[in-house]
Amino acid sequence: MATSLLAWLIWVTPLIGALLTPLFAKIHSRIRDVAAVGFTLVAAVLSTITALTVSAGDYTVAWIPSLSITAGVLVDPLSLFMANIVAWISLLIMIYSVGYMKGEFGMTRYWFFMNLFIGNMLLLVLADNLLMMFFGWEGVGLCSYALIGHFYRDEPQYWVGTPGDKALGVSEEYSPTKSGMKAFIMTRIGDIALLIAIFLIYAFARTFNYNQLVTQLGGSGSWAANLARLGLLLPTALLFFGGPIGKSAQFPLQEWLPDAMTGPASVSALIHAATMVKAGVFLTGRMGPVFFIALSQFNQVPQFFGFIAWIGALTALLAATQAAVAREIKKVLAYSTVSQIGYMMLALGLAGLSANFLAGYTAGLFHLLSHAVFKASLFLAAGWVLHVTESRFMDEMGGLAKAMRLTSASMLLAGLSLMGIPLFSGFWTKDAILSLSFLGGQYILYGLALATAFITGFYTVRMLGITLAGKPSKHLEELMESGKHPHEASLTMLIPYLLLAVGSLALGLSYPIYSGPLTRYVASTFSSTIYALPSATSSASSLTDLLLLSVSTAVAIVGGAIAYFLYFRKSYEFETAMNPIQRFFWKRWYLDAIYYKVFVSGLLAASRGLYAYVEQGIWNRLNNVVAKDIMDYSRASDQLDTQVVDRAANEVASYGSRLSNLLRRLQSGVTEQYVIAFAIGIILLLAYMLFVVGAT
Amino acid sequence: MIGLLSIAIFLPAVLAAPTYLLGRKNAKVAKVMGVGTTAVVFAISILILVVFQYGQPGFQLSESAPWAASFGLNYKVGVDGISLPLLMIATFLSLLSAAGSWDQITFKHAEYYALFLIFETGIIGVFTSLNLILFYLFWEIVLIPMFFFIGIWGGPRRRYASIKFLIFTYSGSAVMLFGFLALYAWTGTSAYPGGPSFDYDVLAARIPSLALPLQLVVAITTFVGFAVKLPIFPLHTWLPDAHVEAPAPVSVLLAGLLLKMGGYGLIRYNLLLFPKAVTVLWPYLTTIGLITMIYGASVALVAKDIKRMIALTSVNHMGYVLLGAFTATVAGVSGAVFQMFSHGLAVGMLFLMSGYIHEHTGTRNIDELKGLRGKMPQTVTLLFLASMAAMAVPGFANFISEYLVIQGALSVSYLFAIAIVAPALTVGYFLWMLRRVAMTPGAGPKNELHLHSILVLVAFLVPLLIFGVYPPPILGSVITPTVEKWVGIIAALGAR
Repeated sequence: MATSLLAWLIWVTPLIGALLTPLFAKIHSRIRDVAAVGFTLVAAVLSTITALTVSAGDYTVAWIPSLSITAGVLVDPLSLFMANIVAWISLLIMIYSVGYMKGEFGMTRYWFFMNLFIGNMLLLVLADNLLMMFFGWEGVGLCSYALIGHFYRDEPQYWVGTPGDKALGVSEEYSPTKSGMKAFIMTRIGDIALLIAIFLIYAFARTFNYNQLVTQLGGSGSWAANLARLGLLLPTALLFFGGPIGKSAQFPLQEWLPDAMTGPASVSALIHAATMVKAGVFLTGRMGPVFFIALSQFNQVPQFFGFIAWIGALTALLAATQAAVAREIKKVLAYSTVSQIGYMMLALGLAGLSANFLAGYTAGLFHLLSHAVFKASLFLAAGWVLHVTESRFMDEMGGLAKAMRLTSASMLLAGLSLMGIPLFSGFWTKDAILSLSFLGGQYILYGLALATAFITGFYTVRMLGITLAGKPSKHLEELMESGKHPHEASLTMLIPYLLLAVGSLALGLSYPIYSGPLTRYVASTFSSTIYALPSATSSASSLTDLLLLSVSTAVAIVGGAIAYFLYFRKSYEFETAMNPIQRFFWKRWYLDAIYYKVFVSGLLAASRGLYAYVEQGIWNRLNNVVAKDIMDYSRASDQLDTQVVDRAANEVASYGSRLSNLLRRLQSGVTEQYVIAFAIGIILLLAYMLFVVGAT
Repeated sequence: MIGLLSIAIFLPAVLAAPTYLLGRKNAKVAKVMGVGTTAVVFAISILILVVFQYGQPGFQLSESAPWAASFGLNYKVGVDGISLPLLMIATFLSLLSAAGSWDQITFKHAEYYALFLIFETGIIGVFTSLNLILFYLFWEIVLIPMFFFIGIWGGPRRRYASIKFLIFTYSGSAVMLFGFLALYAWTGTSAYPGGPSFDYDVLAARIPSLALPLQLVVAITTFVGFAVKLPIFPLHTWLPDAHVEAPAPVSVLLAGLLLKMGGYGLIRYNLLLFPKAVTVLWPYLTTIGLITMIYGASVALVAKDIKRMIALTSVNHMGYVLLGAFTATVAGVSGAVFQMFSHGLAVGMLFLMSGYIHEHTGTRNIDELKGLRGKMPQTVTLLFLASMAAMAVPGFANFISEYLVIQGALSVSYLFAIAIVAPALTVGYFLWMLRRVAMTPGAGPKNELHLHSILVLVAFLVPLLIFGVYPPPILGSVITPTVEKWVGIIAALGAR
């Protein structure tokens, strides 16, 4: 227990930090800022210490004993691999925030939700059961809602989208509060699917605990067998995957993430690199093996894992095409995240489709690691670029490389990693996924992934070219004339993203050294006898490997080269006139607009109709018939009463008129007698009852 | 010997007379006596918590006395795991509502607090009676102060709302009384030695041998009485009107306690007394519950008055109670009881807040409340928290209760997966309301609530958060043992 306490503290510390933030704020704003970073630092250090010292195991305490539900932290390589990524990258983002958010309003709220976000993410990662995981899962959603809408006053500079831009008549501009709401509701749809799946599993397994769920699969009459008997095993697995689809912004619930760019850049970095969208990948990683074993007993593995792989590959391509035409730098990065998460999902799906489960599995998780590093760097650097240029549009930047060498260098390093250029971390991890799809015989998926790699090369270079190369834009020149020259960020901001960019190169250079041990480490999560996962070694020759490596590299370089000629040489002007393909991508494949029309306009129309025709039209009218008749009658008798007071006594025989009379008098002030009469009656009755009780 | 329960029941009514007489001269005296009495009753209920033996399924602290024995009438009260949570919110919400009335009720204080105390007697009586006629008496006692509350202290359409309220609920209770009397007659024949009785335990023992058609008649008639109160679709239309017109502290009582009478009746008298009838009726009743959930959420989405919206969330959330109860599973019924507890607190908080907001801004129109965050930052933070509770975000008791209900429903039939539409809609209308009310820059100076008002609101949150994170003290050791016992009996009778 003593050492496992460390594991508990990993997620408890940031939560305590969040709760203490308002108190520290009362003392001094500086103390509040330092303390907020400090709590994340403690969580990060604890994650590493736990990984090094605490032996793997499930450390539980009683939670809801009557339903034999326990709470606990699951210390195993997977959870600690993830916890370390989350905590350390969050720490760098928190340090960056100190500089970046200086002077913004609502900083106590900001620090509160940042730490709450990190704490919930760590809870989600370390929980040993699905219910507790879900607490963190919803907590993460809630914090994203608050942080995306941080600038809740909806000032125009915090919006995303091009002013006046519409698709199918639906505005593609989003204010912070609108996109925060959108994010929460869209992810909630996935969350509820997930919850249903969790309860379907619980209904038969009578446990939420991961290890028990796997152990039970070994016995006869397991939860999987019972679900399969009802034909529900595959639907349950698919509903379960609904959660990751929502959280990780995969097709068809991908539309919330691009608009979530209304939050501060540090929040975007946190959502994209360390928390939130990684939660879906993690959960798929956590439960993937469990579902693999369950489904393999009923030969349904290809359906489920095929679904994951296809969703991943399609999302990767879909989002990449949108990144290729995006105008805002943060939106390029957001689409890019959706696309890269698609790769991770593809890898996790391929795990179930290939002969070596763990190969695909680790490929997905390693890509998560490398993406976390380079994407955090890109977002933090982009945040500074936005700040300096006072614009979110890339066409209002340009030529920044001269004045901001270090920022540009770090964006270049991280960008090369995103493209998958050799020696960078993204190269190794993306190539592993591509090779796996080819060697697994999934040629269409391989084609999709390869096309995505091509577009990734293109949009990365395009983004770098428009913002960093060439001449300053007109907007920037005006800014410089007014005395605002682009300059490097202060060290608290510069160091985090520089460190991450260099880190992504270092991770790439040292990949051949650490990949073997780290693979074994992560794989050891499933070394216990309860997991029976196929692990055939790869039969591919080194020549095939080399060939695949060069193909994926070549494709990315060609994509990048095209963008180089288009955007590095010429200055870029945003054009509203686009060719049909560009327009289709720019309008987000019209998906966002269609969703809005169906689910927002449609639902509101349906509710209004229900209200007007059913609530008011039928039921209220029907229910009122009786009431109205009595009212009419009483009104009539009421008049009679005032006109012919003497005859009133004869006319108050009806129930309704008494009521009406009573109320009329009550309103005119003659209340006391009625209240007294009533009260006396009640009191007499109760006194009698009391007497009866007392007498025995 | 008068026991703790009888003291809790009668103390408010006994003190109603002095509150009225002394309060007439001085409104402050009425306020102090009203709030003071509810505080004392709350303290008594805490004592009940101390004495209560946890983990025991049966009735405790029972008291009984002969009354009119020849008519099968006796005075009998007691609490078990189903009534204890409701007793606790009854005393707790009465205290908070009385405290909230301090500022929000501005005239006729003596009458108001006297009626308030009579209401409290009635509501505690309803949750503790173990004799059908005694139950019915308390049931009716509750209605009358409520009628006066809406009719005297209500909004512009109070006359319409109060009469509608009275007609609906009285019609419901008349049908219910018919059911009780029929039951008395049918179980009072020579086939049942011991003579006719209204005693709950006696009836519980006799009903299994009652013929199914007769059981169905009684179950359906009593259901109507409870269903109006709950309320179910389409008998709910009195509720939005009553809520919109009632003063906010009364809305707290209305949504927090009066609706729970319906839910409590459904479980105590429909489900537990008529297991055989439930076997036949459950598919219809659960479906009505499901429709109520989704319908309530849909119409709440387009409500323009914030109070009307909150009122309709009650329809939305009480549908869970109906659905959960008639799954007749441990999870479903426990969830239904727990839902009454957590919903009472969450919606009570929302209503009281709507009253404060109305008082401070002069409007309840959602579109006009724009930018409230700038004007009342602390209140808005509390509004967010209360909305999160109502949205069943994990960490709040409502999460546990709503999902226990859904879990119970899923274990009966996976078709109930449709139920998930309701929480999705709930999130939608709450977030949309919050965006319109709280966000965007507001015009006008800061106009924050008094500290004591804020403290009253915070008091609602404390149990919601405690039991949301750690439910065992209420779920595992209070509700579940009793529910397990009764569900066991139902199962033994072959109902499921």
